Formats: sequence, structure tokens, C-alpha cells
Amino acid sequence: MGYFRQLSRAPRARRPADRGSAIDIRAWNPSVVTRQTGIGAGSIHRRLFGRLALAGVGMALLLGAIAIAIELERVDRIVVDLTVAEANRFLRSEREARTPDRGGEALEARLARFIESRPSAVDGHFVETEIYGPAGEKLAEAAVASSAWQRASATLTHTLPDGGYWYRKHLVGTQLFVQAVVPYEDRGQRGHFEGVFEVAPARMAEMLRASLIAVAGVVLAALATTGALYPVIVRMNRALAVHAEGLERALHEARSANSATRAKSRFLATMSHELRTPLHGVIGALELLDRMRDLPPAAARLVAIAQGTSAQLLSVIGDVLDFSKIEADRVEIDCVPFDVRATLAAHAETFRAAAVAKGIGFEIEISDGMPEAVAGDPPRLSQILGNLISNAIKFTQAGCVKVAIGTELSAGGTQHLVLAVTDTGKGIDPGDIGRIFEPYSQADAGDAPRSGGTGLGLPISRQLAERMGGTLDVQSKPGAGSTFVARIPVAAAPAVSGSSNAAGPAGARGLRILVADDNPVNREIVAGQLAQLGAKAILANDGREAVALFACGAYDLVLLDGQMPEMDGAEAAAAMRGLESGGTRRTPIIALTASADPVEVARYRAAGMDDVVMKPATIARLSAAIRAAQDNAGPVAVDFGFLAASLGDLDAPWVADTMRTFADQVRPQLDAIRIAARDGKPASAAEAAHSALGAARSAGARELGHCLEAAERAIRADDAVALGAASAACERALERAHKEIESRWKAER
Amino acid sequence: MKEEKYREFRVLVVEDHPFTRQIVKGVLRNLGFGHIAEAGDGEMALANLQMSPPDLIVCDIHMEPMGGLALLSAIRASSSARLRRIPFVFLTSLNDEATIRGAIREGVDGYVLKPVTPSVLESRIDAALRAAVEKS
Repeated sequence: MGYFRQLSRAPRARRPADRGSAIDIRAWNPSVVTRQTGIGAGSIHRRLFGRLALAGVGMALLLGAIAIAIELERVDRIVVDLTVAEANRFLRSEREARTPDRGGEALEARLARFIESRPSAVDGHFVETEIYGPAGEKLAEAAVASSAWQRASATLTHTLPDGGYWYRKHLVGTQLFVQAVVPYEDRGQRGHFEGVFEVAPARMAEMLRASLIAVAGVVLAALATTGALYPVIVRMNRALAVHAEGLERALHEARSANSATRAKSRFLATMSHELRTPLHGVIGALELLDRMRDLPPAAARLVAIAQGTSAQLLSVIGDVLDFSKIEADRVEIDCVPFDVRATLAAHAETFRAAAVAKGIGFEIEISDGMPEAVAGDPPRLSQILGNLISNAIKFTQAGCVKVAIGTELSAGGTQHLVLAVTDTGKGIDPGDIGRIFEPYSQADAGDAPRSGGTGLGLPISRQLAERMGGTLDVQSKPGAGSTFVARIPVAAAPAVSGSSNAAGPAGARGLRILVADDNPVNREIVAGQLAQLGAKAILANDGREAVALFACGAYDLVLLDGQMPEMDGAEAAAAMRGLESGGTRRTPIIALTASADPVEVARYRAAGMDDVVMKPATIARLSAAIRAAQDNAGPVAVDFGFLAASLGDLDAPWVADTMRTFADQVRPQLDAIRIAARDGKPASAAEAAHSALGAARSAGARELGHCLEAAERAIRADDAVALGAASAACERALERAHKEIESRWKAER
Repeated sequence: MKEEKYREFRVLVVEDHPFTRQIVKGVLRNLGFGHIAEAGDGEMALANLQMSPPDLIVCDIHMEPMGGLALLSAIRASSSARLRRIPFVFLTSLNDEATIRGAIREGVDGYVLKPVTPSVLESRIDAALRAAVEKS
């Protein structure tokens, strides 16, 4: 009888759920329980009286156990419903607030952050989240079709009202995981969200305790009615073990399927890098050759041909990589203000030569109401426009290609950029219209050898348009031609200053530029390109050498190759920023990389680099980047090293969110200082200056801190003129700090 | 990186500038504090204290309407022994002698100058907590 008291008292003996309290899961061990119960069962069988008495106790406990089991069920539901609700709420908010500037980060990462930002609402956190969109469907199917998955889901699947399902509980050591699968529909495309949710220790203690009581209740009930205790427990434990094993295997299989996708995109990124590196040499050398004055006409023609074909090769590489990136769900969408005419119209213009060469007309029309600047992703928009134009030229044998760029307001009031390309080609059969947006299929397969191309241009363009929240459609009349129209939401933006778009080599004239690249060919090409721009290149063979040169010389700018042995570009840039941190000068650093991987790009930015230029880089692109980066030269506005020491992980979402508010939070105080100086009442700014100084120091905004100290001195000396000067300096310093903060945390937008 | 020793501690951050308050909270989180409450000035801090007394207060001095020195003196004069003994650390950019003397006179346990570095703040907090244990 001892075991009864032991079983019934055991749960009560446990302390209420304590945060982080250790849970003794040995209570689940079948051998321990069965040994005790085996002895007990024998005595029960022999004594009827005892059995009846115990049946009463058992029934009482059973009622309690049922109540607790219901409670336990509710607890599980709360956990999972919250996760499901969170996931759905997130997806809803995504749909509602779908603007291009939210596209810079993978949906998965945003979801994880969304849920992390609500720790109080959910008793635990997601250890793994996956979004299976249309592109990831196959992967999900593979996982679901696996036998382990089916076994696990056959026994453990619970249907949720909104069509999602979840697995019960998944105990690994002393951690408890709950898995949930929630289907979603996003702009007509179905996918599902899957999360492994780790239950918080306190909640887990509660659930385990409740489970233990429930198990005890079931055991007692079984005993009271049949006396056959032993087989029940054995069966229960066996069932539990099978479930756990199945889940573990399904989880493992899902993970390895996922890692295969990751391996694929890593491979493609490497391939792209390996192809771009030699191409950088080819394109760079051709460009330099093209600029030589005394080239015989026959040679100049050969150079032009080589330039054309290498540009083609580059665009094929770009298409293939882009498509694999879209497939792997890794396309990053930027949102920056840009000049539509200077960017898109100029890009369209580069196709004129191809049209003229083919003997067809080419017109570009920009609508009158077109704002000077909008915010979006210029390279992606150019890519879509370029794909549509080259496609139109490709399929038009006679007549003309017309490009129209404009804006329109959607029914919902959102401004859309409209890119329309009309051709007089042979048109598309109505039956083929759906197919032309499918990858690897040109409408008439027989056309492929004649028309060339990867057949990926239209699928990529449509997917990119959709990633940006827009559409790409076609209207066509067989025999008469087609019109492709892309409509992409864009945000209003202030006019872009001409500096970054103005052509001309003057921006780099006379600059001393430190160049590090381990590839001697590329070193020579970059040096040649810089010479064309009138800059002097100081060459280093790798990152370490570059840092050594940087430590003992002054340079106007640094160009670092991304991948170098010994010390790569990001490491070298971080070392250079470290060398600068005590001083007052900030040298612009630009990454020159053949890697198109957004993770790499984010790493360069995080290391303190100002810009990332993709190889192969043309002289014009280098020149533009150098000019833009020079605006960032000057005193160190924000000491990121100090911030990292204070706050730990600078990539934590809260750090980004907080730092982005810095300028807004300090600006009112700077306004107060300016007004006090203007009104000749320095003393009235004392509090504002003090408060702003505290904030600036906390943010590691060194330069602003120095300026505010000067303001405080002026206030103490009651010197309105000095305060006016300090106020202006403060505002300039804040602008610079704001810029650095924006660029440091840009990748996470 | 996070240390376990502060995990169960409840700390109250009193700071008027919202940005600085976020940063100070971040530094404390980075030091491993599991429970961080916040207040925008001395009066709000007092209201917060009544509801749930913290194990530690990290406080700015220059605040409106009620500054850090006034808050410290109100706490030290409190009728509750628990409140009177709460370890109290100033985190401020004021470094003039008069203010520092005032803080010591009111019975502050630690005085840290902005900008806050985690190592300095941690050593002052440790010292303040040790002193509080000895006092009680």
C-alpha cells in the first residue's frame, strides 16, 4: 500500500513551478515504476477488501486526475494556440503592411523576431522556424512523405480549428518542445509555417507535474477497476517511447532535408564567386583596353565584341544565381530612394544598341507625372525592366520595342511604378501565356537555340515583382505582339541629390586609395581602373598586409577584396575600424567582392564597411561608389566597438530598434539648444544639453558628445555666440551619427 | 556571456531620457539581469517601489520633476526597513564635487559616471550588493 501514498503524494510534494527549477524526469522511467507496482499488484489480487477500499480512493483520485488532465489539455492548447495565433497574426500583419521596405529581410527571420519580441505572450520561444513557401513546397512534401513523419503524425497529430496541426510534446532531456504546423495563404499562394517551440522551464514544470498526476490518476483508475496495473503502465511507457522516437526521427529528417537546400545555395554562391572572379579580370581588362586611344579599328571592334559577349555571360550567371536564390527563398529586397530617370531610363537606354543592331525601332517614354524620385530596389527594378526589354528584342524580328515608365495609384491608394514593354513580335498563344512564366520553358521550345537566353528571365522577373509586392502580367495577340506590364509598389521619396548619379571621373582624382586583393590579375585591373579615375592605388596582397599599411599611412579610401587568405575583407575592415577608434578620422572602406551572398554583404556592413561593390566592377560603378563613400569620411561619429562592449550582440533586434530611434530622441534637445542660443539665453538650454549628453555618451556617439560638452561649457560661461557655434556642430555631428547608425543597421531592415 | 548571479534580481532603472534608459537596460540585460523595471523620474520610481520593491536601483541624478538625490533621500527616510536598505547606484554624467558629496551624504551605495561600461557598472553593483548584505 505504500506505493499508493507514494504515487499520490509525489506530485503534491513538488514545489510550485519555479522559474528554472530542475525537473526530475526519472519519474518517467518505466523500470522504476513497474518494479514498485509489480509487487503491489500481487497483494491486491489476494485481498478483496483492500481492493474495494482502494477502489474508492482510486475513484476519488481519478476524478482529480480527470480534472487535471483537462487542465493539462488546456495548458497545451494555450501554448500552441498562442503560437498559432502569433504566427497567423504575423502573417496577417505582413500582408496588410506589405511595403517594399519590409522586404529586406527573410520572412523567416522577421517571424522569428516578431515572436521573440513578444516573450510575455508566449510561454517559451521558437528554437526553429521554417517557412515553406511555394518554392519550399517540395521540401515540405518530402518531409511529410517520410515514413517516420507519418508514423509520428498518425498517432500524435491534433487538428486545430484553422487547419493547422501540432505534435503533442517532445521531451529531450529536460527540455520540452512543441511542434506546430500552420498553413497559410499569402497572395493566393499557399505555404505553411512550421515551428519548434521550446516551452519555458516554468511552464514545462507545470505541464510535467500535471502529466505526472494525470498518469498517476489513469494508473489508479486502471488498478481500481481491473487490478491489472502492470500491463497498462508498460503499454503507456512503450507508447510514449515510440512517439518520442518517431518525432525525433521526423525532426532529424526535416533538418537534413533543409540542410541539403542550404548546401545547394552555398554551392551556387561559391560557383557564382568562382565565375565572377575571372570575369572581373576579363571585363576589367576589356574596359581598360577599350579606353586606349591608339587602338587599331579592327582591334577596337574585337574588343567591342568581347565586351558584348562577356556582358552576356555575366547576365546568364546572374540569372541562374538569382533563380536559385529565389528558389531558396533568399532574395533580399532593398528600399532606397532613387532617381527613376537616371536609373531606369538610363538602364533601358543601354539596350538601344542591341535593337538598332537587329534593325528594329526602340522608344523610351517616361510619363509626365513621374515623380523625380521614389523609394524601391533600383537594381531589382532595373533587372525586371532589362529582362522585359531583352526579351522583347529577342522575340521581335521586325517593327519596334516600346518602353513606357510611369506611375499610377492603385485602388488602395498605393503608388505603383509601372514598367510596360511592348513589342511587335509574333505574340504568344493564349494557351502558352501561363507557361512563359514557368522556369526553364520558353513558349516554343524550338525557339531556344535561335533566341538564346536561359529561359529564366521572365520567371525571375515575375518572382521579383511579387517579392516586391507587385505583379507582372502580359497581354498578347498572336501575330501582333505582346505587352508586358510590371506594377510594383514604391514609396514616395525626397529628390535624390545628383552626386551619386553624376558621371565623370573627377570624384576620385588625386585620391590615395589602398587596394587589397590576393588575386594579382584583379589587383592590376583595379589599379588600372583607379588610374583611369585619376586616383593613386597603393597595393596590398592580402588583408593582413592592408591593415599593416593602414596602420602606418593615411589613405583617402580603402578597397578590400571580400575573400582573401590570412585575413579576409570583413576582418581587415574591422581591424581598420579598431585602429581608428581612438582617433578622429574615419576612412571610407569599400568591399569589392565576387560573392553575391546577402549574408556576406551583411557581414561587410557589420564590420564597418561603407559600401559593397560587386565584381566585375566597371570604372563607372567604382567611381560612383568612391564618390558616395567619401561623404562618410571624417571624424568617428559612432563608436560601435564601445557599443558592442556595452550591449553585447549589436545584431540583437532591440539594439537595432533602439539605435534607430537615437536621432529622433536627441533632436528635440538639440532644437532647445539652438533656440536658447538664438534667443541669447544659454542657461535655458542647460537641462537639454545635459540630457542629450547622457544619451550621446550612452550611444557611443563620440563626436556629438564632444560637441555637447562644448555646448555645456558655453552654457556655463553664459556665452550665446559660443553656444550657437556648438549647436551647429552638434547638429552636424548628429547627422553623421544618424547616417552611421542607418548604414550599420541597414542590413536588418 | 550572461552571468547567472543576477538572474533572479529585480533591478529598477530610473532615467528620464528614453534612449539612455533603453541603453542602460540593455547593459543590465547584457550583465545577466533577468527582471528589469523602469521609471522616468523619481516620482514614478517611488510609485513603482511601493508596488514591488526591487533588489537594486540604478538611477540618474538630473531628472524632472523629482531628481535622483531627492529619490534617494526619500527612500532612505522610508518607514519600510526593506526599502531603506535597497542598494542604490547612481549612473550619471554629473561629476562635480558638490553632487558627489551630496550623493554620499544621502547614503548612495555606488556612483558610476556615464558613459556606462559593463565592467565598471558590474563592479559597483557587486560592491553595492555586498554592502547591503553586510548592512542587513
